[in-house]
Amino acid sequence: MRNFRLNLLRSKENKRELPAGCEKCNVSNLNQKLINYKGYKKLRIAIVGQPNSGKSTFFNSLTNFKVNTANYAGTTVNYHITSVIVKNYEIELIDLPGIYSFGYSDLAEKVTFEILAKEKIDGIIQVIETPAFAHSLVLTMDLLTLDIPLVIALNMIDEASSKGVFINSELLEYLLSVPVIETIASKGYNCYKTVLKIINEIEKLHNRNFKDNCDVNNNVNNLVSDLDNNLVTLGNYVSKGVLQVEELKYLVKGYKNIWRNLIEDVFRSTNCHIKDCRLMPACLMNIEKMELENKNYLNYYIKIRNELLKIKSFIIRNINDFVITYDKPKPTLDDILDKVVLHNIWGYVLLSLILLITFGLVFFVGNKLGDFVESIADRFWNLLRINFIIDFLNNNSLGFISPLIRGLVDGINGGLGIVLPYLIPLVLFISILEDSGYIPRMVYLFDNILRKFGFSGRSILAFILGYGCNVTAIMALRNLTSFSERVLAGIVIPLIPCSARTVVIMGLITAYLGPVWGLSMYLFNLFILSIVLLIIQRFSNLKYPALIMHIPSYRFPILKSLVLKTYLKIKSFFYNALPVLILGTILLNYLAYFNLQDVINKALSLLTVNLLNLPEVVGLPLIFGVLAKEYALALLYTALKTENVLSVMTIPQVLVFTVFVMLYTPCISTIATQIKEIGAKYTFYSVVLSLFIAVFVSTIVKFVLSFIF
Amino acid sequence: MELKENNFYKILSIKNNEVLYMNYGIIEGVIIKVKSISLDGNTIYIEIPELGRKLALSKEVINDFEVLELNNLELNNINQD
Repeated sequence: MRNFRLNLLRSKENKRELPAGCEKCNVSNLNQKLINYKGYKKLRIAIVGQPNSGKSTFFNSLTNFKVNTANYAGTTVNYHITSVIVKNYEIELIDLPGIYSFGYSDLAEKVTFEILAKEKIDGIIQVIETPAFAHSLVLTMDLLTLDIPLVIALNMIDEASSKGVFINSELLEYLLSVPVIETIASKGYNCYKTVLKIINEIEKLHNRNFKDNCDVNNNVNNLVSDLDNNLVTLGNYVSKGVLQVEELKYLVKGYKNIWRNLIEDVFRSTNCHIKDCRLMPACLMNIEKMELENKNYLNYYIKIRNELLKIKSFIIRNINDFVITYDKPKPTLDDILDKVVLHNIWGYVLLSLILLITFGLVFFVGNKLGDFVESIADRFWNLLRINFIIDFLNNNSLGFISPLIRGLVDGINGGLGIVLPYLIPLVLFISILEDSGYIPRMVYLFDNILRKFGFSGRSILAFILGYGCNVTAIMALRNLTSFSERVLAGIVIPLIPCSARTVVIMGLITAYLGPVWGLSMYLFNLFILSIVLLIIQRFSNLKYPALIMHIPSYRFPILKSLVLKTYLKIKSFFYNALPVLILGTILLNYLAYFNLQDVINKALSLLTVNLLNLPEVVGLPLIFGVLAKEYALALLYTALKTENVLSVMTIPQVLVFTVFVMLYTPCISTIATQIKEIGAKYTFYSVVLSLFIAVFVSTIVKFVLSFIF
Repeated sequence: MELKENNFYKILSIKNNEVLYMNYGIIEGVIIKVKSISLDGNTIYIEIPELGRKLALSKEVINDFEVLELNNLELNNINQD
């Protein structure tokens, strides 16, 4: 590391009356550009960074917003927007999915790319994972070409120090000519200061004299008008090998200008769907994906792009040499842990143990919690004298109100006493796995298994998330680079038992038949999933997409983050699922009151009674199960008029019912997400496939069980 | 080329997808260390010491690179530089 101290000369801010703007430069006056709203001027600031750099944590700490976070690349696959008031500005903060560089490769990265291209963005905060700083400049160099005010937040600065990585932020600021601030987003350290800094940068840009700005731009254009010559000039710097600080700063500036010079050139010869795109130079990164009107340009641009990539790599290496200091290398805890976690034998033993422990704890905690909630609920309803009220209504010609009250009580009991107790520990344990950094290691362990089915290990992220919620899992498919892999995974993910179906398995199988049977259901599900994947692989001839994935450092899960994630899932249950569950239970009670329940059950009896040998009353719970799977269990109790299922159904019937619920049609939320992510056609295939598999497998299970019981 | 665990390799050239690999820190001239290889030899866990970055790769990705195995002497020379 070359020690270098800088005395930066800061010019006084030039405050003068602003002109109206300059048409030639297409730059408007700040006061015109900002919309006045309730006395606040509006600004839109994007939080950008490479995957797993802590953007969402940064966003959460600034806004008190609660966005899901985790320790693996690709947690955020869509953007989140919220507004905060800072000084006299109403700032719209956008938390964008991670992007490695403008040469995007998956749909989540494309979301970021297109928002930066199409939307009006006043400023950018780039959040950098400081412990992995050396690679973060790949994105910084691209962001510099946008000519939008930029501030760099060196995040996780505490973790970097503990790992022996030190960054000379003053020198970095000088070399890149953008402000650099050290932050710890998880503790909120300097996050607000970063926002103040970006506001300052935006104000500085708009306080420029626009006429001067116009002339400067023209000079720059003249300076770099001859593209090839300038590439040669920059190339000469590269051939020098080692540069002085001033030379490096000049090279960064030259690199930035050469991109800007390419804007018109590329625009003329391409047929890009994004009009007036400020990312046109960055599109050169993806030139192979663009439709060029003149194909002769393609090779020329690829040549220029590759030259620029070499210059970019050279700049990044030199900046890294100047600004990073490493402590003496020593084997890190990560290295020691990885020796076991990724071991060819012990890795899989550990994986099985972790999955077993998770299952066991969900069962144990869920049971205890369920008993506890049930006892409290019983006391509460007794206190309200619910049974007395219902009897009173029935005896006084007000019987039509009693289904409403009964439905309300049953719905709340079902939601809080049956669903929630299993949901809380399951979400908590999945969150621990997510935050610890173990899930990306599972990608490595599963890659050679999934390859046999035509999937890369990367898709295991979605499959694992599927055990929590199918909706989240299908959203996570955006991280897959291959379209066919994304579609096929999107079709089969609904076969994975999500937390709602886990509730059914726990509430019926584990509770009545024991944990071994419960675990067997998961293994059976894996077996069915493997068969389906093999058949799909056979007919679709899905080509294995090569795996490349960043493996993050291990992190000890922070209690605050775990509580937040569990809270988000539980909140979603309370807001989305519980009201529908209560309404469903009320409706079921009214259907029974008007004797309509029997009509629906009769209509389904061909499937339920004749084919699967189940009681006729399970028809309606199965219909409601399409809304959300947990309803199938909660409403089964109502339909059977008892929570002691084995007093009404035989063991084979309980098993067949659970297998059917585990596999049949995905819930409404999953279907809606599938339509959005893989399209209506493939969603239709998925629904038909899961229904067919559910009927087929349940029938076979019924047949096999008839020999055992 | 058959990679071996705990050995260092220099990426001499990249045949395809330069932009994609650059996103993950793999560029011409970079040195990688193979930390672990799966039983079937299809998945490889590597480290790029220069960047402190760890990656899981499939062998198809490695096939896109022309690599040179570094012996101890070469490695010491690079470390001294």
